[in-house]
Amino acid sequence: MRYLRPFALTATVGYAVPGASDASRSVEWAGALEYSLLYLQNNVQDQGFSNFIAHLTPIVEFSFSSPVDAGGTIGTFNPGLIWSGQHEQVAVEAILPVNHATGDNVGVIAQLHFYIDDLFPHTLGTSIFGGKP
Amino acid sequence: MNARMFLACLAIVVPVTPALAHAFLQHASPGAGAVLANPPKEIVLEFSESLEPTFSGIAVSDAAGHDVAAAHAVITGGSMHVALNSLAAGSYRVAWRAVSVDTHRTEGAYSFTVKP
Repeated sequence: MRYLRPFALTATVGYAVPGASDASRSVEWAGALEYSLLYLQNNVQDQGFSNFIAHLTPIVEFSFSSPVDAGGTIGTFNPGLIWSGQHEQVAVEAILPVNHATGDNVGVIAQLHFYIDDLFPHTLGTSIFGGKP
Repeated sequence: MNARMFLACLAIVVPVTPALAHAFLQHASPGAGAVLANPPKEIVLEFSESLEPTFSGIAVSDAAGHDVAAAHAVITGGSMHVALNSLAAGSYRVAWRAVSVDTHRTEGAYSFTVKP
């Protein structure tokens, strides 16, 4: 049971009202299921991971759109892997359509994020108003 | 504006300063979930960044919640260690908090067991 503790689930639900009158309103729902190897290593059971492996996070993101007026749900599952460092994060995910209405091709997405506040703590990472951190 | 020009402008407006970050736990002894035949004499934690000693620390408690540390934590650079009383068999909890020198805060907790 304790090996479930590194799991994290986030989700969001929204209601989309398009500007065009001929487009359908829809419920947009999405989320992510993650498993933090860093949390597993540091808080549950030391696995002897190297520093690189410990900063990996397997993840499955999902994003769906369910029209309210007409049409069926479309969306994708995005299984992938994130590596989180001190100042940057790298992620690679596959994009898998959930049904034929979404599409028939498999895609891939790669992301590189920089932690701007950590890279430039005294300029971009500081308060616009008030004192220094 | 193309990408090269944007980066050039960014380099001009953002002065280079030392990069700082959260202090991540990189090594713990004993580690999380360890089952030990011999009781440890101290807890040693190594972090990825230098720590602010005033706001960082370790608490070690037994299953009843009693403090089993023999002294205050000693913090040097990016490492923390605390001496322990003589530990009996049982389960113990280590709770740490780390504030890096740029004031980013992290915290965590784990357990280890001393076998009878």
